[in-house]
Amino acid sequence: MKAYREIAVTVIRTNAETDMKPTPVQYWIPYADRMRVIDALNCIREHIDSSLGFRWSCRYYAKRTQLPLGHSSGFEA
Amino acid sequence: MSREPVDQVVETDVLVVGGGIAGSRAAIEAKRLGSRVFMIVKGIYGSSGCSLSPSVASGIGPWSDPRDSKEQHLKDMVVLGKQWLADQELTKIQAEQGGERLLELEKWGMLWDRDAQDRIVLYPNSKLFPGTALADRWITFCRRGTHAVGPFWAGHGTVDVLREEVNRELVPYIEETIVSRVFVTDNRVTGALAYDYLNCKIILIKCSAVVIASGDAAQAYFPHTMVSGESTGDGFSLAYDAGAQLLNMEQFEYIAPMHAYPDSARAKAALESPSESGVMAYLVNSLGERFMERYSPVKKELASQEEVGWAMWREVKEGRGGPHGGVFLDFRHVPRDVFQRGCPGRLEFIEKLGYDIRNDLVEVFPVVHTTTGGIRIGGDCQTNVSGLFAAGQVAFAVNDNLGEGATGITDALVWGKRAGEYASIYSRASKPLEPNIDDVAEEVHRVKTPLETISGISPIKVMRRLQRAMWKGASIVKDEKSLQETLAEIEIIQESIVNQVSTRIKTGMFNYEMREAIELRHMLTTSEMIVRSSLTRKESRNRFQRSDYPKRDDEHWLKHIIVEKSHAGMRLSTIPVEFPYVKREVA
Repeated sequence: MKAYREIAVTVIRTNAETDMKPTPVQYWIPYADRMRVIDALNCIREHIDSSLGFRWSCRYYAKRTQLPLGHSSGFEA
Repeated sequence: MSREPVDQVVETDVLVVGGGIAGSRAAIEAKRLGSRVFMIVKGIYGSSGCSLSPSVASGIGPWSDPRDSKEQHLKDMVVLGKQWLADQELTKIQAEQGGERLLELEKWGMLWDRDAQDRIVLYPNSKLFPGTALADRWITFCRRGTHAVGPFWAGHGTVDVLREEVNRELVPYIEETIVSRVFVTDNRVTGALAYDYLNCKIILIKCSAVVIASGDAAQAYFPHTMVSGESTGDGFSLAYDAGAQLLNMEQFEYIAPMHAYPDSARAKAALESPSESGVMAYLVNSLGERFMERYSPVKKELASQEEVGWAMWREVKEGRGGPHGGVFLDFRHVPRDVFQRGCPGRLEFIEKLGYDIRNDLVEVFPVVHTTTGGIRIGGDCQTNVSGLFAAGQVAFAVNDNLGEGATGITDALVWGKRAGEYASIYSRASKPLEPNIDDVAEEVHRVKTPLETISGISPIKVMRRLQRAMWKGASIVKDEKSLQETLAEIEIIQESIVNQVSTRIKTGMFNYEMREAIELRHMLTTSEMIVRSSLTRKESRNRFQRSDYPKRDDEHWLKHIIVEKSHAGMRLSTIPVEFPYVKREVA
């Protein structure tokens, strides 16, 4: 739909092979519609730098806090 | 045993592969029966795996309607859930023991949603999918005594409770470690090899019983899947390589109106069905037609998921789809407060993606929910390999099927407990065998190859290529040609690409690429099983749909498809489905 454009993503990385010092690294990736952070990270990992490792399992149930905690309760006594 | 080329050796009785509901339940049971248990979790225990996704649990218990019964539950699981493609002996066990397992969780700290009179209440929002069971046997989790509406997280609750119980039982477990092979000598389990990608260690486990509880394989369709990143089909491939039989690998479930873009949002349902919670959205194509009027003139959007999924696929294939390969959900006629009351979480997510539901159409397309075939087990969870047990989504029992709905948690609990129990009994009765030293050396070499290959292709690239091929040719609707193309692609990857896989990180900690390299091997085997089984089944049943055989064929295909390893590659065969309890005539 939209014209192709690139965005810069800065990732603060540590390298366990050397010194674990956090270093910012910049990557240029194509922007996709309504892209979110994990899309950008996955794009970097697939196309630019596969050594970028990060923990993720979260796509479906990311919103653990979604439970409406303040809802009407049968236990208010 | 320092001669072995590994970094660490663990000796135990029962090895549990997987840290979800089934794995945890198995570990608790085996430990209580006095066995030494060791658990391997691929992600972070309690924050990974497919066990976290279910929101409700189904079973017969004190919460049930007095007119409901275990017989009815069994019948619904067989007829609606599996469309007769069920092992009725196993389904009966689950119908009978499910409620018991769910209640038992409460003793360990689970809070099932209760009313002011302290009775467990049914899920208030039960008509999730049109055309499915009564669905008035679902219960859900409430947190801190709140009586909630909206999406619930019974999976989270169950995993949290079980993890605490595992910790109380002092079961040792290791996280961020992936199992690469189960060793078998003379059709008996002798141990397993695992790779700890956090510390870059190869671990040899010597044990007499292995419980595989590693979840499903829906990641083979990434990003067109809603399931967690761990579900790469490791367990299916481990069992296959060990010589076990697998059943109906072609069967899977999908949910139709899922967000079509961006990739990360594909995991989220715009709505689980166009009529969820009384929202009653319309499905329209790029021409603005309410196309369900053509496919199902009476029920329209209230048609079953199969019909809706098929229609969406046809519209896109015939060029009436949107710019991101989906069709549109139209909420413009739905009052915002109706949506807000019915599905607050879904509305919030839609708005977070930047849609204004009063003006915009939301682009949606089906994604794979879970695979429902699995390792063939008996009532004792044992496979045809002595000492190899399986439980949960990876085994073929009831699984999580959307026809009956909400059976996933119950399945994992019932079969997890039984797997732990029988694995413990088995390991006590059997004399442990040493893993074959040549097998171990060979597997260590195989695991290390991507580290030693100097330059090659990164595992994630190959994995994405496989996943794209699977989605293109073996997903929502398939035919002979598309399946053959996918199979050819899988064979190319297996023969000439997988041996070129190389990791960029060679030594350091948290080598995620190594995990992916091992996952890739598992995913390739599992995908091949899925595609070959799909080619064998020449009918459409449940959500397995083939455009060249669009009808359900009860005359010829009331059969389970078996995949197993042979000298000449994968061997496929069929056995007729049996109907010991729910008879065909009664349907």
